Amino acid sequence: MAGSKVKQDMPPPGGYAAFDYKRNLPKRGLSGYSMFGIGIGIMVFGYWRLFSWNRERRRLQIEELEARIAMMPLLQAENDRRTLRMLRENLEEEAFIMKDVPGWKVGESVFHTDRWVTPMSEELFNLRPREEFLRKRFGFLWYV
Amino acid sequence: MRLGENFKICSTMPFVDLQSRLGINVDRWLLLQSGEQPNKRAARCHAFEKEWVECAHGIGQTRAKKECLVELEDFYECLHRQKTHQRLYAIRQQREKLIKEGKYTPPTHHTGETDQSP
Repeated sequence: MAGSKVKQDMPPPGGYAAFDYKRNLPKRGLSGYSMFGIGIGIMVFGYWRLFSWNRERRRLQIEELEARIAMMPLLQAENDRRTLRMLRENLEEEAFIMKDVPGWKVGESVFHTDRWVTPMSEELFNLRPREEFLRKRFGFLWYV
Repeated sequence: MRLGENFKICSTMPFVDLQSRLGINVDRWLLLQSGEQPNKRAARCHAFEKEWVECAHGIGQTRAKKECLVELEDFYECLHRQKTHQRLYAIRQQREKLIKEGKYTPPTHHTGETDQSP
């Protein structure tokens, strides 16, 4: 076969250039320990920030509670005035409405004692539209 | 006061009182509305219950049913408000009747139009 003049595809004169054929897996990047370290470091930093902000929130919450305690006499007095006013109005309306009903004692207490019994919302809002009563009872809920 | 101490002893088992012996509080905290409450908030019918218990304690059930009927009725009314609801219903019915007959118009503060300042 050698010596016959057939046109064959041969390498270029001088041969091909050298190339890597050996296995090449270089060590690169951080080591495992340092990756763990960075992760744990970020977590510790996060915890520290969380705890210090929670302490700050606790201080703010205590301040809000103190403000509530400081305002409580005023709010309680207003609430009491409102209750008494509504009871008075209800009493007068009841006296007018029930004046023809036989055997009805206006303002009669359902209890045998004459101690002050805190009136229920039903009693205060009896003669008002039902939405007001429902708003009083359920309007403060933040959830359904 | 002495009554509270008695209740620590005679809650469910008057002679054995297992819970005090073992130092546990399995159900003593929920037996009375007038007992110790969390955050020291009084129950709604605390006064009525206290009156009734003070009246009825230590005299036996037969006597208590006769002698403490007034306190028991008040306590029951506070819990269930049956008479209150009946009364309010009667007033409302009469008011509706009068409105239908045209003899009564509700005042402005009862119609929900004016603002509700105290």
